[in-house]
Amino acid sequence: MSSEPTRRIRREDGWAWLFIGPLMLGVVVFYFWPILRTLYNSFTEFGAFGGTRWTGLENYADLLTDAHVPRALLNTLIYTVIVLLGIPLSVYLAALLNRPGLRLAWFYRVMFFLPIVAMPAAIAMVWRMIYNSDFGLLNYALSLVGVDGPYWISSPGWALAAVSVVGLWSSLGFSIIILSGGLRAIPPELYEAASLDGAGPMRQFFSLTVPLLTPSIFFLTIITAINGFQLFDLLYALLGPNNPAMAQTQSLVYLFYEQAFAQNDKGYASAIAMLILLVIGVITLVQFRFQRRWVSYD
Amino acid sequence: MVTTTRRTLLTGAAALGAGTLAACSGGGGGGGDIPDEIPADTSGEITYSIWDQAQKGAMEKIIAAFGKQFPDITVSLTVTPFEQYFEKLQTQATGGDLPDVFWMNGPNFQLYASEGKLQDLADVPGVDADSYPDAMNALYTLDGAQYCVPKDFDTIGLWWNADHFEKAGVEAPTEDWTWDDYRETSRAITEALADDGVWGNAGGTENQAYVYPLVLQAGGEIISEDATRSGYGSDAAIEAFEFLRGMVEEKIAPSIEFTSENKPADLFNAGKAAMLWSGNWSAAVFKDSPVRDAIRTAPLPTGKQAGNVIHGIGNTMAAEGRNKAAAAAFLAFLGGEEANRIQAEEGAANPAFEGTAQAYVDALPEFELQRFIDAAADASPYPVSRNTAAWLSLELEYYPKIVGGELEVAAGCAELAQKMDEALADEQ
Repeated sequence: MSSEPTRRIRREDGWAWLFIGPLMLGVVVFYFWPILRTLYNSFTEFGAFGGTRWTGLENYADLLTDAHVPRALLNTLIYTVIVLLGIPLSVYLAALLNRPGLRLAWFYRVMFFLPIVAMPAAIAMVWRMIYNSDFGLLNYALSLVGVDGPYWISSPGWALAAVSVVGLWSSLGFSIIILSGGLRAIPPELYEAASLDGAGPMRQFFSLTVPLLTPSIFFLTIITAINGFQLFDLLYALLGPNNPAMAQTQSLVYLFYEQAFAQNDKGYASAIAMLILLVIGVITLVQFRFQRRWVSYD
Repeated sequence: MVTTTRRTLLTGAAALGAGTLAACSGGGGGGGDIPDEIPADTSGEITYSIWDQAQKGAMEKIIAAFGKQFPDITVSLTVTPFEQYFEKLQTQATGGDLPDVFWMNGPNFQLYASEGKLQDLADVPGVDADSYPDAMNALYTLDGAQYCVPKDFDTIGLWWNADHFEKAGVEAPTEDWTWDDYRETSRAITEALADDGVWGNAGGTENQAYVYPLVLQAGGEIISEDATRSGYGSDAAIEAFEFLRGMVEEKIAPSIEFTSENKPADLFNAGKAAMLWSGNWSAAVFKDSPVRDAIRTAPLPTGKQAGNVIHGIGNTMAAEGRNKAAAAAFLAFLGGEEANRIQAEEGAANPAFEGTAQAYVDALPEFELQRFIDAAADASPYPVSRNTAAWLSLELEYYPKIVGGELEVAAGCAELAQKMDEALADEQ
């Protein structure tokens, strides 16, 4: 008799596994297994058509001496930091878009949301035209005020900034959606109470809106940082592999792609992939550590 | 003239092949299941993979013609865009599921051949290498065995715009133009037509169309015959790059940033450049150019000597296919006179089979494409090694640095040569 409750729990356990099972299977097969496989591959020399040879830490030793790696790591960091600057901008824009009584609010929301539904390749095509040094919109606009614009996407000094601006721009839509959700969750009574206490719009924004949005902002910081470290498609489509600025602009994932698919060195590419995983892991961990200093959940 | 004939390349390869490399090249030669003569009632379904949508029509016509000889063999054609073609092929090869018959190119050939993925043509009845240019056979031969039937070929020539030459008042290019003639004509046109925004030459750092011929003309090589050493460290390579760097420096060729955003062929096609080095493949594009009527061709200028590069697609079949008799029959047909004639008539490509190119030449008489075919006789094979891709990406990295002036020419060439030597050493 006394074992009855335990048995019931066991039985419920079975049901739980049944429901979680299919999802877990997917996660294990498509996420955990490839990660383990990549970890294994990073210790091998990977033949062009499969077949691995154990080489121990050789790939990691190469990683430490490869001059492209620190450059790519720095580029990726710079890109991520610039794209992260989009978050304060998104907070400001989301607050504007969610002002009560704003006319044409739906129109603005659609405008800001569009970049998310557009493919990165299509976005890159349009920006390539904007950035074109001789026939592009940007340098034409600059020429009207007497400035001779540079080669935005072909000179090493400018290309990374040019890519980052597009990255920032295309991340705005997603951030604004998330923040709008956060804003809607703030009870209007709080604002009424604040204005009764004599707080002006600025004071309300900084003392009420921003603190109450910190959970959404935190979520966005995590996601944006992870996406930033995975920079590839935008860079590839905007600059192209034949670009003279590519060597100085390439990101970690681009380096991975180069090694895995252009140079057929999948073992070394796996080591780069592990480095990317490690960097993203550390940065995310640090962010979680620091969140209690600034994120308020009440 | 450094002409690598089939024989010299083979001698080099044989010397090299005896040791380590032979160990990993097994498996390709078996072919026990291809009969000496393939009966006309052979049946089955085979797949044929290509990457050029523009040639799909011609390939379908060839398949239809093949169907008349072998009515019981069904060929299904797959077109994969070039950008993904070799990634997909590699995945298929890894999974043991290569198409029965497929297109191959120079830079990828040795990788597949050395891993035993391709069928040795010695066991495919009805293929005769004598029908194709020597350099094309050499390109697709590894350690003495040929694995691909040349499908088509291209060489490089000088494309020029007669209107620009006339307007600038300069003489048309001749058969015996030198580097100096080319540079001074570029200068004259760039200066005369500055107000129209027309460049004397379209510039750029194309390897096959520009750098390779220049290095060969300076008396150098891109890669040693045994494919173990880079040729970029030589004085000839430095001379070639100084020629290119000089024109950019003197602003008679566009900067590398400019040509990165505005491709040389596009500039020429749009009438924004008076001269371009490019292959006969450009004919398919320039026939629709807005300045088509002004477009002419001439032989490449010469440096110390003449120099040109020949490359082309090869048809090949999987060493471990499911229906090798049917695949071999189709491969032999693809390499035959009829299939090559169809390619020419359709204007798909310059056919590799000797004597079938007339229809291709006649289709665009004003471009005088015969000169690209004539150039094949003395052209060097496109330089390749076992993992060509590894040093192709080095070229992409270093050419702009050298021509753009970020690295001093001699130092840049030395660095490129050293990195390429390391990549070649990794192949061994």
